[in-house]
Amino acid sequence: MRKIFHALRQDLWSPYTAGALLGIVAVLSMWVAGHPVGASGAFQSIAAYVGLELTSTEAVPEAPAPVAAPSESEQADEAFWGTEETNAAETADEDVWGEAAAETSDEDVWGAEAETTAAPEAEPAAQTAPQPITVAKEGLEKQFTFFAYISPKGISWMVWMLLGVFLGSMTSAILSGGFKITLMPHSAQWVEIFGPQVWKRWLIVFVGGIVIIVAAGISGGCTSGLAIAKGIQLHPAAYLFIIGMFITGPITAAVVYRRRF
Amino acid sequence: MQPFDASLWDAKEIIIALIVGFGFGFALDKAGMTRYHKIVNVYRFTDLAVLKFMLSAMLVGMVGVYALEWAGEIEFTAITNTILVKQLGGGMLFGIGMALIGMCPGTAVAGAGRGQLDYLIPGIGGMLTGALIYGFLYPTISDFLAQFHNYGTDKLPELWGLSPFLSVYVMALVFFLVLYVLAKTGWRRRDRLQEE
Repeated sequence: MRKIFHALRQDLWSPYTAGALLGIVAVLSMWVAGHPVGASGAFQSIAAYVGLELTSTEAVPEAPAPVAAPSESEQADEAFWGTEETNAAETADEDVWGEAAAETSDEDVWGAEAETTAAPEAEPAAQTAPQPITVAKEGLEKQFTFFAYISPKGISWMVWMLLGVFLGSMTSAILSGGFKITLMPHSAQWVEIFGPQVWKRWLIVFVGGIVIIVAAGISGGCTSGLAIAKGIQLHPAAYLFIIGMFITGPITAAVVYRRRF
Repeated sequence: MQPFDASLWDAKEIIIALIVGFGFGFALDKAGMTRYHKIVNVYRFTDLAVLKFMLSAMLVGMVGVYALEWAGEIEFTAITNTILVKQLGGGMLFGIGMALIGMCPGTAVAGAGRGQLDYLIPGIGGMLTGALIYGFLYPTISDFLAQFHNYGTDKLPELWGLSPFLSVYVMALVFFLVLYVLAKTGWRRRDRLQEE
């Protein structure tokens, strides 16, 4: 017992031990929760709240509404971000996904949706009086489709998981005494290279954050959702991603650190 | 057609999500992934903790999920198209951002948990902004990627024509050997920063 407490209070574990813990978590995640681990998808489902506002507008349809709202669909299917495996069997919202798949299947890049869903099936038009519905703004139809169906808004499973990540890391840091509210990273190395200015760190982090998420969007996941979650299932995509990371990472570090690389 | 909402979860699923995330965040902080220098130094090859951490996680995870799949406990239904430009190009862009700021989406949240406000505000804020920007670029990006060859959804066992067991065995052996050599030799580049 004392040994366990001692271990929990340590600042750093050997990376092998911590990695084994992460491996166990990744397995439990698929086994117990039925979702693989991941992070970047959560950012997409939160950003979709704003994205939807920016790309949609209210319109009162003339006569019968074109397609009724998918009110009975119980669960969102985050197919695009990698959880398609969990809900593939129970796509109650086939009508919704059918549309999205039809939109994208010709491009074949997002083939995942196309293969997990059935052919589009139009729902009978609503019988009630016409009500304002949300439609895409002109010229932004494809963006609207993305925010509304491909990566829909919502407090998704991954958002809850990330809240857990926040709490887990905080607990670990409090136990080891490393928890401290600071404006700068808990690392002297940043200051050695970039200097002590807070604005500089914050500006670079903001821009870097944008680059990272756009990159995760392009490749279909991040270090956790693609490299680890897909890597352990032996998807070649994960290994291509890791190779890509290790091509440009050292170049970037060399450019930033120059003679101190 | 009305937009879609992904927030209907019951309490049990939310609690499981929080527990999984808790373990994930705990592991990330104990491995040092919540600190700028740990992430950047793997790209300088002066501290290979990220590599050791990821390879150990993948070794354990791979054996675990394939064992459970074999036992019929879980199913692999993820469909991921292998498109060279998409994953390699995306990974290359990702590497630039990661080496610059020393975080990735998961560690940005974990780093915020240590009380680092630069992870919480510009880090998570920038990533949310990036997610919005990606949505607007999505039609352009998907049109661009559509012109490249799609290698299909084969996983390594199908690609190699080996049974899943043999594929896992080969990969596990490779991971283990790399980890063993790294642990035995303790190889890393000299850190010029520490010599100054």
